[in-house]
Amino acid sequence: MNCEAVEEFLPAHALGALEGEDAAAVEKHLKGCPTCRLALDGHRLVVLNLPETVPQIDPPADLKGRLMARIDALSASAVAAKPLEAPGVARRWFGFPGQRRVQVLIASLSTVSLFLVGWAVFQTLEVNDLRDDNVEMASEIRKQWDTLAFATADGVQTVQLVGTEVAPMTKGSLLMDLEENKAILMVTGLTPPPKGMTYQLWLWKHETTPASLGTFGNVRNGYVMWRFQSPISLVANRFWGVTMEPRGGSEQPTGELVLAGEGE
Amino acid sequence: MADSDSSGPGPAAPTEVELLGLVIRGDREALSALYDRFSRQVYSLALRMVENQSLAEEVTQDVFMTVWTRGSTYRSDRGGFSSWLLSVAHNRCIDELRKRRRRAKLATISIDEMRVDPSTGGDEVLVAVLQRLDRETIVEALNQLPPPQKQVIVMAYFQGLTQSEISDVLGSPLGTVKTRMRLGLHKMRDLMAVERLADQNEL
Repeated sequence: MNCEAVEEFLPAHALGALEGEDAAAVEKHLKGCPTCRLALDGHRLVVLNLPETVPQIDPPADLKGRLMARIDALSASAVAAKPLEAPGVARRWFGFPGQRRVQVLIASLSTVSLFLVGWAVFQTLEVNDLRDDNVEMASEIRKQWDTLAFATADGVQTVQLVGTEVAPMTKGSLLMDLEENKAILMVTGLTPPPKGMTYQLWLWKHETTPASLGTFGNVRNGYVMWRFQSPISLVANRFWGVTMEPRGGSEQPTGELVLAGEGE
Repeated sequence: MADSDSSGPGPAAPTEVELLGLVIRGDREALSALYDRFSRQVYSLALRMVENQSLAEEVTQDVFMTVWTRGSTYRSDRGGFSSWLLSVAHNRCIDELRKRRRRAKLATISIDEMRVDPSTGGDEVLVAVLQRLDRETIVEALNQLPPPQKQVIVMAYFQGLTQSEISDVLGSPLGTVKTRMRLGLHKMRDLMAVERLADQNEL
């Protein structure tokens, strides 16, 4: 389909009313044609404004209370999920000893819980697609338990990573077992790296040059959960950062900083 | 639409993107503030689409649950926060409507039932004034379309019908539906662009 033919279909495409072969042909053309994508944006602007034509009516006064109760219940169940048999699982997976100390990292725990709620939501969506693939589901659930166990274990330090100007909606937590040099990086709101590129985690022990902790590129629905054994000691670090680098990683950062965090 | 609207109740009122940032960190009060700002738009759209109060309430709750659990999927470079929020609501309503259509046969809708009401229907004068220009422009643009063109646009957007479904419901040839949709949206876009240009000239 050429631009002229596609142009005819763009209004319907913007309205979501195209179907079948027409929809597929338009989609295919749009991928390779910035001019038609721009024209589509013009129609989308109209469509995005259509809710404005609706008479405005206030929702019932008690709806907000019901919503907040749902949110509190969700948060409570996520925190309550952290628990009992978790240390055993953690020992098996990470091999670190020690008892749980729930009050430790209580602030970071809420971040972890939130991450897992989001993670669980999209895992559930994906796992539903797999239908009866119970093995996959069991494996995902176990990974979540492991992460919670890890987050609540003794000697685990957390660093919050914040998105820089180039990725303001991106957030992350880096959980580190300093004794074992093991860590989990959890990120939300991250754009998948383009083909041939990957993300690389760095740490600065001194102000000058950073050391690489490894690369990760498996971003699904904006989420990353990357477990790794650090090649260098994680003790006494000052600054962490994530950059985008060519696949395989770089010796020193070459891309812009996407996420950054500071030690205590 | 009043995206990135920093002219709220006071000079220190946080923008919706700032509030969303707090929501992503688990700040319940920030979600409460976003609800206060946008629940009316979300609920109104849902009510218009699903035409059922309790279902519209359910959709509204789900939309803000999505903000709570998946707010980080919002991308500011792809449009304003309220557009994103209303897209989430729209998609959720389309799902409901498709479910419902699978269960029941769709009745033909008359053009009269699709009258667009330009009133704000409430007493929030401040909000109404802030949004008035945009709202009036878009409502006028839609109302200026020939009724058959308006009808197919309303059926596609608010009822989630495809072109061939609209053709079936109206008993009109598919080609006619396609032409009406194309002409209608083109005309709306042009009318809105003219209005925007006029506004800029006044400034």
